[in-house]
Amino acid sequence: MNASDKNLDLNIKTTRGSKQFSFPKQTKVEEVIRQVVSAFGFASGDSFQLVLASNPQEALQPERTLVSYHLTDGTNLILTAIGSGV
Amino acid sequence: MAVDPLLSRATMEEELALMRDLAAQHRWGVVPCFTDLRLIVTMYSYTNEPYIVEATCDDYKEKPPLFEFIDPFTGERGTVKAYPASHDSFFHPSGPCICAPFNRKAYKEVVATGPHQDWNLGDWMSSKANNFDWSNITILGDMFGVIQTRLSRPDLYKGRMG
Repeated sequence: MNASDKNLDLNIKTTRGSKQFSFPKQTKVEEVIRQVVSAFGFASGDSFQLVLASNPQEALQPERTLVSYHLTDGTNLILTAIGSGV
Repeated sequence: MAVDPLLSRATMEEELALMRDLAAQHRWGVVPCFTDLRLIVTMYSYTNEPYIVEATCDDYKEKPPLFEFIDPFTGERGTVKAYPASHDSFFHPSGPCICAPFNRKAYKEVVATGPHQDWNLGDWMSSKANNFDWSNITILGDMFGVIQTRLSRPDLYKGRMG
C-alpha cells in the first residue's frame, strides 16, 4: 500500500478561500479542523465545524475519523462557524 | 475619522474574491454596488426559503458593515418577515437585527433599536462577546458564511421571524 492509498485528498472551502488538503484516512475530524483553521489564519478555538458540501445540514462529528464517513478523494467539505447569539 | 471610500471599496473587492467559491457552493446571488459601498446577497435556507441580505460598508473596516434583511416578496426593509429566526438571539427581534459585533445595527450608539449599548464599535474585530472569538468573523465571507450556516442547519434555523 503506498502513501496515496492511506491518504485522502479533500477540497476544503472556507469563508477565506479554498484549498486542497491531504490527510491520512484515520485522521479525526477535529484534527482536520485544527489544520484548516491554522492554514487560513483563523484564531484557534472550538468554534468551527466541518460539513459535507453535499449535506451542509449536518456537521461532521469531531471525534470521528475521515474514513468513518466513507469519504473519497476529491470530496468537497466546508468549514463553518455558527457564531453566538449575544 | 471617516475611511476613504476608495479604500473601503478596495477592501470589499478583496474580500469578495475570497468568498467566490463559497458563494458558488451556496448559490448566493452576489450583487456589489461599489458606488455606494453596498453588497446585496441572495441566500437560501435548507428549506429553500429565499433571503436578501444587504451589507452597507461605508467606513469599512474602521466600522463593521450595517446588515439589513430585505423581504424578497415585498421589498420592505428590516421587517420581521424579512428576517430568519434562530434557536438563539443571533437574529434578534429588537430592530430586528443580526445581534453580533460585526453588525453596526446591533450597536445602540448607531441605531436606537440596537440591543447593545455595552459594546464599543471600535472593538468589533477583537470582540469576545458571549465568550466567542469574533475575530474569526471579520471579513465579508465570514459574515455571510455564519448567516448561511444558520440558514442551512435544521437545528439552528427556525423559519421566518414573523
